[in-house]
Amino acid sequence: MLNPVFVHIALLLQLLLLALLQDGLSWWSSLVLVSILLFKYSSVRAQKTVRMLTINALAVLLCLLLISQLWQQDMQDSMLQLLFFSAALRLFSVTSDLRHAKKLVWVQYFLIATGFMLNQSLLFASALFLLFFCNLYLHYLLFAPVQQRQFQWSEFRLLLWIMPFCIALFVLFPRLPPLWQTDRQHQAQTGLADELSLGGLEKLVQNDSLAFRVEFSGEKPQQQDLYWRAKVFESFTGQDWLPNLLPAPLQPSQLQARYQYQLVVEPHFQRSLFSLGQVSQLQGQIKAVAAGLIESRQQVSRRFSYSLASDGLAVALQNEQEASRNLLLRHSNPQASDLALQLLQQHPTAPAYARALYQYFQDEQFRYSLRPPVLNQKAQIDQFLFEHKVGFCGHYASAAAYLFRAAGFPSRVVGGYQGGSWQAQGDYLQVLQKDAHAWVEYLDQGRWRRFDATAVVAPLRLTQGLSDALSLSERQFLDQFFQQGVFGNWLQQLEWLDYYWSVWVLSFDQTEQLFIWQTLKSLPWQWIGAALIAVFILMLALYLVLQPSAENQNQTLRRLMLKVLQPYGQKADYQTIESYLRQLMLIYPQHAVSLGKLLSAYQRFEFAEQQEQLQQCRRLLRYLSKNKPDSV
Amino acid sequence: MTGTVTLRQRLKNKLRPSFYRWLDRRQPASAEVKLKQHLLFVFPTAYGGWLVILIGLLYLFGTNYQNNLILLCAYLLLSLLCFCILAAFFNLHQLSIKAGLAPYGYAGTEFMLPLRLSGTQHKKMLSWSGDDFVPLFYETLPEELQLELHPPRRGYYQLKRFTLQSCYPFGLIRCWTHIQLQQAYWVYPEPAPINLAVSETKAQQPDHPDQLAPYQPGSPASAIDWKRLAKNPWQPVIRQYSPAVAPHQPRHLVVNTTGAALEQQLSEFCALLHQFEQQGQSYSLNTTTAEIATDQGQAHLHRCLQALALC
Repeated sequence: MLNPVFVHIALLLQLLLLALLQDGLSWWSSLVLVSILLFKYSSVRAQKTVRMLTINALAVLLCLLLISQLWQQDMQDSMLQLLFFSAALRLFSVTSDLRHAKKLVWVQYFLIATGFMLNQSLLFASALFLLFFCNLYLHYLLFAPVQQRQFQWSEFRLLLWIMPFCIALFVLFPRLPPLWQTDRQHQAQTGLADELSLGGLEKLVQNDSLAFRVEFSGEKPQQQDLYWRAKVFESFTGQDWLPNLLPAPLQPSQLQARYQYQLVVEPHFQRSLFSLGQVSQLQGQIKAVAAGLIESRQQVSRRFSYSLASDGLAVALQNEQEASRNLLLRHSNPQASDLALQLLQQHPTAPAYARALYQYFQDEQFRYSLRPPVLNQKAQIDQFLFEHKVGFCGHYASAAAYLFRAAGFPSRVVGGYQGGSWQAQGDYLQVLQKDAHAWVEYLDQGRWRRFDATAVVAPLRLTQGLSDALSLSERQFLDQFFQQGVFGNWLQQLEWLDYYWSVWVLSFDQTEQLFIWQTLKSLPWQWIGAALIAVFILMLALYLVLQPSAENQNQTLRRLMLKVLQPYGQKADYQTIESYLRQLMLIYPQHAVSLGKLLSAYQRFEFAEQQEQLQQCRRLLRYLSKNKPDSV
Repeated sequence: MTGTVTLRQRLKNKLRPSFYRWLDRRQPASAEVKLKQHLLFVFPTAYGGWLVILIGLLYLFGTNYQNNLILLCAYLLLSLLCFCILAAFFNLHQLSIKAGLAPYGYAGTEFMLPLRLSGTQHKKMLSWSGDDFVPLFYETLPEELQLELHPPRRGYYQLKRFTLQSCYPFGLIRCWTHIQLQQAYWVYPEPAPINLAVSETKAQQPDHPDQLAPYQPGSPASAIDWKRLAKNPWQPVIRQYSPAVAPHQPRHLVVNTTGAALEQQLSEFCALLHQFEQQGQSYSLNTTTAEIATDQGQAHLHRCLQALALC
């Protein structure tokens, strides 16, 4: 017999699940699911049963629909929809027998767990775990007595026992690397694009969603050194910068890494990852690619974490091809090329040339703006450098890289993020999409030195962030893209919770597991064992010592009396203390007086609760034990 | 399909005797059985097997998508499964089942066999099944259990090894035990309508209303009209016999037939013995195996009935 509340709870669970998993369901499947659930609800209300034939026909129809959509959908989403359909139809067929209900619970477990593929934020995950436990309750109802709807203490105890065991499994159970590649195809990418135009990054700057978060385990870099490299653009088409990287192995750095840090990246459905300068150690599912960049082994479709060590130095030149590749230039901007040659004559070395460029941007009073005038000429860099003199980091990076190449110094544009804001009393750094930035790297003595014209044009951009670098009107322009309110502020407060959730739970992997095992192994086990045994013995001793005092004084006194009076004669089980003492008085007339006193003192203590009589009793007992009758 | 079923059954039938011999060594019949570790078997159910498959699938997904939360779900279910083993075990552990006196009944009618239970706290969803009683299912256990025995032929029987099992909680793990209790029961021959040739008391109509009187405390229990008691248990009625018929001559019953006639005779004797006892007559019984001297009273009656049952 199925518990009558089962169907109602299952309906509620599926409705909530439907609301939670909206992201993974297409509109038509949501519609179908809602109508199935509503129909089930009305049939339960009307106490009608649905024929299996109807359900099977519906199942076939839905499967056909799903197959027809399969090519347009992601594999994961299709699986989620299939599971949800089977759960809803199974619920549809649940009547009063257990058979269907058991299958329903099974499918719902699967469905809820699959839901974690969509989103892993703390809020979503806690809601989904709540539904998981709701399903556990349904599971319990299946096999529990029908009248009994509440969990009883014994079941609660069971669940409480489960938790530490589950956590231990999570922490210590061996983990495997992914078995096959799983990329999501039909997902919009966020973050940096694959090409950088002169006015690029504008869209990104208007986005205040989270890009990634970083925690430094030791020394933290200065704010103006936080250049998070993500992409390197080496080939210039005259309009756009494109990546033209050739893979090269990571050269291990001999130097001691200066910064140790862990990053938690939000899903951006690309492979590129972020790093500071020259990277020396990698941890996690990542690999080094060309130009000192690192990349994820899989598309980042969920929160992803990795650890790095950087020495804070400029990236090293990998090979000669890299240098020559970054010299290629079509002189499409004649004025800029002329300027480059002029400057080169006075400053023949790369560092001097870079300083001259900084000076140039400062002297010519370039301005930093999010809304620069449109560049409508073919020679865009010329128009920017000599006409508008107003631009954004993309403009400066593009122009500077052109000027370096025109003067014969290898250079390239780097896209990434700059800065970030420190959260939770400076425990971790939060980098938003609006911190997107572009700068230039030029080659000098085998290393790619950084050149960022923004440092001269808008120094506040580097030290205090974007908003401080902008004028009031531009700030207002920017603010219109960022929703904020009471709720938003409140959510900001919870950000740190979400951060530690991703660091400790979501990004827990083999490396950390190995670390825990090693820590466990290196613990002084003999000392811990000895301490545990010592504590156990101490507890036992304490228990034994405290045990007698637990009983009250009356019992103690009675025991003492029996012990002392043992030589006088054994007390029979049926005797009361009084009759026993009276019997002793008869047997030992020489002690009758003290025994009589003892009796009256005992009675006063026991029944009149005269505490002072206890001393009297003890005194008399001492006397009696001294003057034992001669054993006959 | 049928081939596999018969094969399975043949295998089962073949293995059963040796399994029961092993069980007999492990748990010899006793009057009281306390369920301890060596008596309880714990094994996953089919649903538990499906859950293991689910755990495997979730582990695979969690690993492949490197999704810790899916892994966490898998571990939650795994630990649930592990702790269900303990919970299912403790659901039967320490339950003790005590056999009572040998109850009796008549062939052809169902009757109850009471078993006393103790340690029934927190024991839930237990099902009892065996060869010689109707399967029972209890959500929570009572202190006394009534097994409804299938009506067998007359005779003296031992309660066969029966099974006690539970899937509580979560139905993932089944805990069961096969218990042999030292519990016997008597099945007396079915009372038949009395033949005139043997009975001379036919003239008396004991059911006649004016010969029935309300039960007073102290009235002989043997005089209670049980049929009426069954209809109306709140008002017991006793049969009163006219003193004129008070027969003091001892009656002698001798079982002297064989084959089908034997059964008929035993049934008639069964009814007669009851009648004699009700009338306060003393009687004796001779069967091929037993010889019971003249006496009267409930103990004597049952001795005679038992002798009839064993014929």
